[in-house]
Amino acid sequence: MSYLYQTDELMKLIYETLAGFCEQYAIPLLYLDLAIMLVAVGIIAGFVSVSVMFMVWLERKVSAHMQDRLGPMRVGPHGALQTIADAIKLLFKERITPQKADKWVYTLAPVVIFASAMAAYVVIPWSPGMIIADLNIGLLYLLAIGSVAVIGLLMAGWGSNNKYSLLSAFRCGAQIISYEVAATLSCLGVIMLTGSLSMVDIVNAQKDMGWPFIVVQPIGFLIYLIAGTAEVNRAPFDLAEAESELIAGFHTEYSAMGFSMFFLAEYANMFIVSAIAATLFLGGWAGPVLPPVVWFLLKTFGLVFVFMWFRWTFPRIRVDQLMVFGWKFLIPLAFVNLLVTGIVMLL
Amino acid sequence: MFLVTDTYHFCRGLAQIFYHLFTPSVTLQYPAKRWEMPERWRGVVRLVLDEKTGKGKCVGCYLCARMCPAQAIEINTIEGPDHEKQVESFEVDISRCIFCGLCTEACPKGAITLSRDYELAVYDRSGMVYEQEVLQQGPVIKRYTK
Repeated sequence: MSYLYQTDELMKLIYETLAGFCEQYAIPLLYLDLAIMLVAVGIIAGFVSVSVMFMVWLERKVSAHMQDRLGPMRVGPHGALQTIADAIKLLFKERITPQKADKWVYTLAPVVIFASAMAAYVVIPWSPGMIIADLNIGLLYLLAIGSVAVIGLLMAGWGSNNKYSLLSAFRCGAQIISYEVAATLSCLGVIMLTGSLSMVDIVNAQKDMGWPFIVVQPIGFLIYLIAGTAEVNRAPFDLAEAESELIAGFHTEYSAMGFSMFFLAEYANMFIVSAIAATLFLGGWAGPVLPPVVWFLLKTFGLVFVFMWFRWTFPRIRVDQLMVFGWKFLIPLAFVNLLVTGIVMLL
Repeated sequence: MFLVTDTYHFCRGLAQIFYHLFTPSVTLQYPAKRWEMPERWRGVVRLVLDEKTGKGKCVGCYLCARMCPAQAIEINTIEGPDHEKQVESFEVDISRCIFCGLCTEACPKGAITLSRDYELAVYDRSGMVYEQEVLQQGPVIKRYTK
């Protein structure tokens, strides 16, 4: 039971047991490391698909109840198995490639987006010791890998050879690049306070301080939340998928698994942005009574709910409003926040 | 200044939406539950029975058939044992009926009304012509029960 709370001990125990086993049968430790890597990839892939299914169901239920509807009710209790049914349906669909599409770019685009979403899970700290790789540049890695998705979006938009897709990809690129700046600047405040880019160090710093960084960085948290919403292309910043203008945006031409990979990546990205915000500003796994994993998931899914809440409250903004808001308001505000943080730290 | 008012309105909107998360839903789980139709709902035609004799009130005057803009009503009358007019058959083609209620207005005996029954879809088109007995007892509606 205590292993639920001291997961670092648990991880150490598992590794030592396996290492002992390897020694007994004279297997090089390299193989063990490789096997652990593969298992970790499997666990992450499983977690991504299950959590995305849950989030899609949650989104549908939350949006329904916010609009005084019921949402899916017929497949399983309160529609709990609805997304599983949808996923099975998607598996059986035909994959269609448009005749005039740029075949390679078109085929690779969902892979790039999905890979970038999956890669970000590597540095997410679930619980003490439960992190695939505690990189000393964890946060930088996250911000960098988040930008790779833009390439995938542009590939999808260009490869589809469809004007809606292309317009959407352009918008999306402009939007993500603009809001990336604000998101990064808002993270800088936390980095200044911690003095480290490692996700584990950031959580530990908040644990040592006694309260999460949201107390000292409320503006930073708000900026990150807004910029994060824009980065994952969710309403009110869902210009890339503005249904009334661009049909479905960059994934208009995709069907079956191509489409489901975009869908999976979209929700996985939402989870990652929420997880980063939970780690940087809400204290990550730190919290009383409950096990650290539960705290981490609670905070993350709380923020996922906030994203859904935003989506069903605010109407979509125009492209020019988006750019003006990003460059003329959010980024200067992030700089001011940074300046104030620096001055307070100096004093 | 705009920042303060905007933030206030954003927060108000968020609060409103959050409140709606907990208000009861207006959705009715249709095949499992059904709406109770209002009293003046114009559903399928029904022939009214006389409370004393238990027979149909219709006297076969053809007024409803004349009045019907969709020509959905077909009546046949014969001569009864006491040389009175008897209704032999009274059919309403429900696929033609436009639920206007003019037949009820035309009827001098109050023998025909519009009921509150709905869900009239059938698999076979011949099932849409309702005979006299069906009109008197109301159509048997096959309902999706799962």
